[in-house]
Amino acid sequence: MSDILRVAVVGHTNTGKTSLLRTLARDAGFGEVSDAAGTTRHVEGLRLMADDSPAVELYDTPGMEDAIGLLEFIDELVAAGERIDGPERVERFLATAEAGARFEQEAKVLRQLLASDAGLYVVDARDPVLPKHRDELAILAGCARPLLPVLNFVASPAARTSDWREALARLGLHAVVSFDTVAPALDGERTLIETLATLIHAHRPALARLIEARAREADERRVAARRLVAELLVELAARRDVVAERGDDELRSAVARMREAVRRREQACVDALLRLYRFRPDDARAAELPLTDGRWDDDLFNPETLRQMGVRLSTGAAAGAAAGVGIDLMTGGLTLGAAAALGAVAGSLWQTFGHYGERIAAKLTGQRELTVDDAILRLIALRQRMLLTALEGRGHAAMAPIELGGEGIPDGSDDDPVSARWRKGDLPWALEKARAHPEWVQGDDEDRDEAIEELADELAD
Amino acid sequence: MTLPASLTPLEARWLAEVVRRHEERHGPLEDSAALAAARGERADLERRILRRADLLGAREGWRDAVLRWHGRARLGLLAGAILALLLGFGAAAGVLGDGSRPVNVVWALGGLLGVHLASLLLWLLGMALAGRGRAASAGRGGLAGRLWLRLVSALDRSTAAADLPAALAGLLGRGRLAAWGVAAVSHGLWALALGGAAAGVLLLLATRRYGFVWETTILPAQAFVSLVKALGVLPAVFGFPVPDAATVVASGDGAVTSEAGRRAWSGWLLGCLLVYGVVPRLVLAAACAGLWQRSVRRLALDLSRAGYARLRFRLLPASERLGVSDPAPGAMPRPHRPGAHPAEGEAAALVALELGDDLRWPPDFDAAGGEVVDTVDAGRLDSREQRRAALVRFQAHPPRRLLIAVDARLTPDRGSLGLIGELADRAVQTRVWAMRSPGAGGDERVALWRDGLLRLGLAADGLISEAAAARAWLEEGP
Repeated sequence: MSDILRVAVVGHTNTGKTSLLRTLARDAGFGEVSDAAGTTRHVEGLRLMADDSPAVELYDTPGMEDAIGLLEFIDELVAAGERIDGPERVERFLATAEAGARFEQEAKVLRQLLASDAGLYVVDARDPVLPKHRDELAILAGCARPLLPVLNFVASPAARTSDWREALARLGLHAVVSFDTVAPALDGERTLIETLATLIHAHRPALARLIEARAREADERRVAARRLVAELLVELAARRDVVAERGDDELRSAVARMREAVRRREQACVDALLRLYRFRPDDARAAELPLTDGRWDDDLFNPETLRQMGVRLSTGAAAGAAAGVGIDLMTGGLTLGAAAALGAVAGSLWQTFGHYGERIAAKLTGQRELTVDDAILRLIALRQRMLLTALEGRGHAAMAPIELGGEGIPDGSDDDPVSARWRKGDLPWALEKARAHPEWVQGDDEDRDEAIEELADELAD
Repeated sequence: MTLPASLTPLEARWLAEVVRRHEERHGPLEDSAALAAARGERADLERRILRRADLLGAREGWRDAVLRWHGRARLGLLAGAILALLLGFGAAAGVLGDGSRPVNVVWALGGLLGVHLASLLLWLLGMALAGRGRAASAGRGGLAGRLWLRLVSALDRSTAAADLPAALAGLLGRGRLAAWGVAAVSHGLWALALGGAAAGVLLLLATRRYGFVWETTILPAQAFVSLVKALGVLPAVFGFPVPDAATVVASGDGAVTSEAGRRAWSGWLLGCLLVYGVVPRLVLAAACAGLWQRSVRRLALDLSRAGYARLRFRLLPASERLGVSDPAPGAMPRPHRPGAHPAEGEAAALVALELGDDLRWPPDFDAAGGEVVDTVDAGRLDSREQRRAALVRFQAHPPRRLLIAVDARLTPDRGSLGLIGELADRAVQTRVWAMRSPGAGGDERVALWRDGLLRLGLAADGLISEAAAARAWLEEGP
């Protein structure tokens, strides 16, 4: 037998054993999940890796469905007055014909638990504590392996967490972990693995490595995600489309083109984020995000969307069909604003001269410039942050869409200071700088990297 | 795939940055082969990323471009070194002249060391300022570094090399790596130039006759005596001669012609050049090269970049599937089908099967039309003993109508369905009532109960979900 810790994931039927494995393994395609009894009918293993070395092997098992019947059956296998211990009783049961027939599923569970070093007993905390659960635990205890109960669905309002803790304590199971596979707490996984390590002392170093690797990975992913959003914002802020003709039709079509480009760029960022967090764009599980088919429901340039997110449209841009796009009509693009101009000077005097020169030329030839409105930048920042939060806090097993802050329209009073700043405060300095650097749309600039870095910090909590 | 000349750690990371930049801008490259190779070896994430980048870079031509770049950069350095030597030599020749005129020692020394000292001062000032603030441009090696990047990139205009300078600048910009590298190179070049000058001075002094003078209109002679003495203190430590006061004073009147005087002046000049010029530049070049080496050794990819973070789960999966170890049975075990029902029964009966303790039992029919008369309540069936007692009881007195209440929030499992089957065998007619507390959800699982009961052989209308309907059925309704 290998020296890797082997853990059987056991429990009553339809309590989320496969979901737990999916979440722990970051493998959204593992096994099959549905809200029905007996979805998993086989034993399937997977190995959690700490960087490049295996740390623990987990085995998904079928749910136990008839514990009362099984315990009755096992009790009958023991003659009156005969004293045999738990494992022997289980072995005796596994040797019977019923272990391959009526109790086939339960036999799989017990065989796997006997072959493992420990078991995770998954509980649907919304279920009432019933005698059948006690019988289940009595049978599992017969395998003489340390059992760690894992309370699933604790985030549900119907969860009876305290009932379960009390009942489990009465059965001598005092180490109990709450781990919601749909909405796991940020440190839920860590707590689970740490508690497991206290039960199985010999495998502590491997589990510690696993915890460390997972923490590092999460940090890296968080930073990478923020950077992606920062890059999106910088590129949109830097964007300047030139309209050569004077006519209104040209302007209208240029605005439409720009809006489409902005929508596409935001979508590209969403796709990249989903990839980063391993949600495939066509994945059914992506439905748990505030997205539909990997896209935002509300159009970016719909004033209603802005209203819902509590962002005010800046007055000038609100007029007419061009909402959400700033147009330098009168000055040929000279209205950069003092802050942006200063930022440009701080960035690169040479390039600033170049841009102003171009703009003066544009004014002389009667060109106009389109930029992405501040309000749109705010909106994108806010909703991408919302997406980041949703991606951070949720597991791979979630199947129902989350409610976006209930029915309430955020008014900016009850949310975190970072969102409030994005909603009402000044735009970050890095974005002001980006306004003066149209070449940042293309990338390839060290100052741009620096601005992205700065902005990513602004997006942090 | 075997690759020629392996890359240095710096080149490998540079290549990885090139690949990342390309992928972030133009979308992921097709990498199945590279991925397989990188996953094959036992290594940490960075190593695997480097391995993948190596293979992809070789395919896309970037690897060769990096190697070409490095070769060209070395060539450029060599040319720079030769140029510096020649410049130094030229400076020495220019300062000393052809010997037709006596050499003004102050001007000679100033000409040889002035620019060097001024630039050294500027560099030190720049370092101090960069050390205090977050001056990013200094971290990237400043103007000289950029100039060098532009210059070398101007030599290679192929598309494969287009992204190289930006990638290198991005990589070296972190941890002041570029600053140390550029400093080491510039100090080295200065040392070479000053060394060339020293060699030139030595050669000219050896092969020509120079007279040494100093000139002044307003300063006293004593100023020159103390200046020469002060400057000579440090070279004297290394054994260079210092002209004595008499020689210095004599040189003020006209070129010294005595051999001892000429040698003292020559030794002093050369000593100052070496001690104030060549040695500090050499020391700084060595120190910066050491810092550069250390930084290069510590250089690691920023794995939190989206382009790398995206690769983590592909190169270093969080888990590996082990496959099915105990396959599913051909047919799932099913509860026993209900057998023959008793033909005659007694009073109507109701039981609760595994009902949550928040649901009231016996049920409250007040809202649905009041108490049902003439029914037997067999209580809650949760444990083995309760189940047995109920079965024995209904065996002895089969009910005419049996209503089994279940908790609609629970998942129907084989055990409870089996018990329903056994209970149904002991009654003339059986209905199952999926109970819910008013206002609570749980509709999804009612469908599961319906399916389970159908499999059990109960009629399609065997499931009741309303209290009123349950009461009506108990009272001999349809």
